[in-house]
Amino acid sequence: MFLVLWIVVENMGFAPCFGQVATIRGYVRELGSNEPISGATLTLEATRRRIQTNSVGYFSFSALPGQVQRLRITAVAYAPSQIEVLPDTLDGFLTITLAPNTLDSVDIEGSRIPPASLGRVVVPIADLKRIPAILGEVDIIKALDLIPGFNLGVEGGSGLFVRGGSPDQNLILLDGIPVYNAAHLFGFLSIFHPDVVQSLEAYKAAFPAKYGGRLSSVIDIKTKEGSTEKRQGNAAIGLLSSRIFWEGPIGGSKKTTFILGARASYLGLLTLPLYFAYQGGSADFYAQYWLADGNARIQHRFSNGGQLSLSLYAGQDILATATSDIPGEAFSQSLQWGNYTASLQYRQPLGKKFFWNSLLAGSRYRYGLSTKGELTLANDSLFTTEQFLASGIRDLTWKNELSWYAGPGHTFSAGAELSSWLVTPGLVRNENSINGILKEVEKKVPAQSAAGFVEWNGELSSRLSVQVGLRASAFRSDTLLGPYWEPRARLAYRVNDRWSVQASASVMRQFLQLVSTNGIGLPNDVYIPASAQFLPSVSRGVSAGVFHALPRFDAEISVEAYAKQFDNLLDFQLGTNLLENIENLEGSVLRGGIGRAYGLELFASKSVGRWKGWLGYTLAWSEQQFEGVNGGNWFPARFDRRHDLSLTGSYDINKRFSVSGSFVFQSGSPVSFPVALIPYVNPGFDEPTLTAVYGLRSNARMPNYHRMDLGFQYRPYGRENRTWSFGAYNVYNQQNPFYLRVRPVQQGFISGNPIPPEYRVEQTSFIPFLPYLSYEWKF
Amino acid sequence: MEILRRIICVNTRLLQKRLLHAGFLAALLALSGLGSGCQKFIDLNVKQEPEQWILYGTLRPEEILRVELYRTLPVIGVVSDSFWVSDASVWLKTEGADSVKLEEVGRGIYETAAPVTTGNAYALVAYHLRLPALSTKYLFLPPAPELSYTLRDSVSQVSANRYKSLLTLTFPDTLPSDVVYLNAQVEANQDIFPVQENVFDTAPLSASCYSAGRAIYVDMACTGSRTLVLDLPEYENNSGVTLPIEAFVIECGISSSSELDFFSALYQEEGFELGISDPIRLPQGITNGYGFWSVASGRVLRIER
Repeated sequence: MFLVLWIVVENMGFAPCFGQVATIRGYVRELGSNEPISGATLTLEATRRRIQTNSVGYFSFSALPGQVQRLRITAVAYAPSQIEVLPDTLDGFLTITLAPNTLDSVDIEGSRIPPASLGRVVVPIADLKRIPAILGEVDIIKALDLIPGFNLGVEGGSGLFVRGGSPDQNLILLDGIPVYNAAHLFGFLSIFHPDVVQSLEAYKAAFPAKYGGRLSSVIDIKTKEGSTEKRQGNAAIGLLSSRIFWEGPIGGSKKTTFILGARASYLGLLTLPLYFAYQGGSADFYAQYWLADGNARIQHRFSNGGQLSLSLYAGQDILATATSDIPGEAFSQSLQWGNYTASLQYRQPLGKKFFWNSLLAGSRYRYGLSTKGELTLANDSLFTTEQFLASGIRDLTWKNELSWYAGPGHTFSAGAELSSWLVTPGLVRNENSINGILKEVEKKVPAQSAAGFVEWNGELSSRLSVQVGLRASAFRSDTLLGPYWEPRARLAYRVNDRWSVQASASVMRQFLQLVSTNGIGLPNDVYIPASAQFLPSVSRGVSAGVFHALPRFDAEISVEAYAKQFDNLLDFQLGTNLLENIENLEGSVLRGGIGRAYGLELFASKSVGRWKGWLGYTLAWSEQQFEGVNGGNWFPARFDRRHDLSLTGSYDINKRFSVSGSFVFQSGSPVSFPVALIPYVNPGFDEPTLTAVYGLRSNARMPNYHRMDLGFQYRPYGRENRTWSFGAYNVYNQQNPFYLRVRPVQQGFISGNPIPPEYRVEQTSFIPFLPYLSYEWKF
Repeated sequence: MEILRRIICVNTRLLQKRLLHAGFLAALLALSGLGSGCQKFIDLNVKQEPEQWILYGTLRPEEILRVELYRTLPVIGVVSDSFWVSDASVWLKTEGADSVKLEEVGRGIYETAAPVTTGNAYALVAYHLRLPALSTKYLFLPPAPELSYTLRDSVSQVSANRYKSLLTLTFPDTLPSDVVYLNAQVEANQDIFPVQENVFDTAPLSASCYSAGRAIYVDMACTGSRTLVLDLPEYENNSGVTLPIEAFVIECGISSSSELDFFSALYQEEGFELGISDPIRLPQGITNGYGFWSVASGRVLRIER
């Protein structure tokens, strides 16, 4: 212990310079927009010590006074920069601006690639917009699918499986607020407006201690602060939706800024004729889909460096269907879900060595499904029946974090987090026109959680750096659970400028689990808070990686291996409709499951220059074990994918024209396939009803998935602020599996008698070759 | 089994699934360029289960035992229409007595020559060249419970054209703590419409309503209760002010849960859309087979108005 402290103190440089230390502090921002750049790396050339900017682009470190310091600043998707500063002259805040990587980026000496960090992914939003997408709809969550370790569950889905974990094991934060369902349109779109998002950082290992409550990943999305220079915006028209974004300063001081973003789909408009035809009686079916979302943020920068921001999000999906194809019967259904979030955040540098971040945030997620049936009876009277199912979550969180920039390359952080939850696993109401309400059950679970953390990020030498953290958490619903200790550690050793090795270990706990019978977000999904019956799930993970930079090619290659173990997992009981058994969740949910996931990830990327892109490959296993399932043996988890290969690239032909493409290959996902059929002859019928008998869980696999997408971007001459995007999804029209079913194929007749049918597996595919066109202009 | 076979239920959940599925698919189709949701047959490498028995059999007091024997069919491949098991050797075993052979009286239908009697425990075994031996556990066939009842406010008018009936049925304490089932019919001389209502102090395992001209069936079952208040559904009768009920016919008894469990699972079956549908687990209480082997010992009461 003494040795460790000695190393820390020695390396902070306190001893020789105590009382003579100057501090360099400030912000790293994007040139032009003044948006903060989080995770930028500042390297002090003299000592090779490094420090990273925090979530608002802030940095602070000590240096010897009177000596010119040369700083090298690198960040993903930005051209690197070098500056020289004289610490004595800096009383205020230094603002360093980085220009986005363009063809005109000025070359400087040395690598242009920021140092890699184990398990951490920074997605360059500007590059991401060029990746071809379904119907040209830019989606930052979908783009994660192209990165090793991240995997989308089904075609078009947005439920991310990260390193063998289930979608609910991902902590998705929007300006610090948890988002419980990031899907629009059953997952075809994520809820994140691409123009509003400033940065996306994702962690699949080596989690900083400030994050908790989920087992597998953290996806931290931050919205823009708004331009301080001028009011500007952009709008885009696509085949599926249109979006608009506007930002700028309020008043002349440039201290207060705003952003506004909105998006809406016109699917509902396209199907309006069908709706009117149904109302007029000329159609017996209609489906209407409406979705919209909006973001707003206002921020004020105080003269003392403090920043106050208010961030709001609201989004809603509505699917309405109706059918009257059977005489005397009419049925309609409405499915709605939406997220609403609000956060108030205050950030303040305290002196030259401290930074305080305080967040008060609330989130609400709710979905509901209402079904209505009308039956015309024999006496021409009308009988109506209605059913309503719903579930949801509300939370209110207060977080505080204090960072201490103790010395060159050393940052200590500590914080606390209090949350209050109201979880509604389910609400069920049945009623009809004669009896009134037949059944009304609403299960609500109030809960509270508290967590605290400490973390040290230190450069022990110019080669060796550590990140050590400890998070303590407790949860209370029907009983107090905890305190639980969640240690985290990461060790990085730079062998030389090109090679580095890193390793990490972490323990994570999750107090809110989603039990799902499918991967596409239909209403049988139920959130279950931890309780005496449902203990919090745990993951213990280790990972290690080797990183090799290729400065000559502005490229980097890495290999990461990981292994995770899960405890206290939940799963659905076969044959159970969770929402209808909401009163008896204990009997409907399998508890005490364990899991294991391990794999190897290869990643090669080139993020600078005309050619950009990456190649990712994952070899992975993910298995689970539940008492009473498959005889208590291990079985492949629903998100088990053996091979996952992705290749993404873009090429700037010139300033006006660029081309991009991607190729994806994934092993088939496990499914539980019936092993036999049971015939049952209803009285009065000759033909039997066939009922499937299911055998072992995950006893078969879907066919493999692969596709290629191509996209082009064109900026007309003289109108560079306008962009045409066109391309195609699934260019070679691969029929990928969405779901399978067994269907009889009639074999014909012999002497007028039908030959018994052959039952075959039929694969249904969606999204074949799908061209797109979108138009975006800046104003 | 006859009781449960009459279940024709307007199952809201199934409608909901159907609608949701239709809407969902329609939305996806619209998204993917109309008609692009395409299908093709594929070869899937999945190991199929060897053929097993399916037994549908219920012991009833003083009645000839009639069982139906089928075999499971492969999920993939040519499904033969000869799914019943003929030429099987089927035996009814009784503790402390000789086994009785059942004769095949129709395709896959086997019967005893004599009625089974209460107070005994019975098991069934069956053999066939193509199938492993089928065997069931012993089930005790109890006598039909003595049922006392009170008929209170047999019919009352709750609002215009709406009526309500209330029966209180009390079972003896000696009743085995197994499944109690009720099958209530109302005999009427005109169409009346019933609505199911869950009124038992324990949750019904199954309930349905059916309007069939002169009769209404209310099939219900519940567990763990001695006194049941049968709050017969409210009746709507738009044709006149007089409720045309002539009698209540109630069959009430005890049954093993296997039959009910089987049919409960059977009616939950939602198709084969793997990746979307929820797999259903059928209860399996039979060695080398599916289906049910149960007892039902009931008594019919006819209560004239």
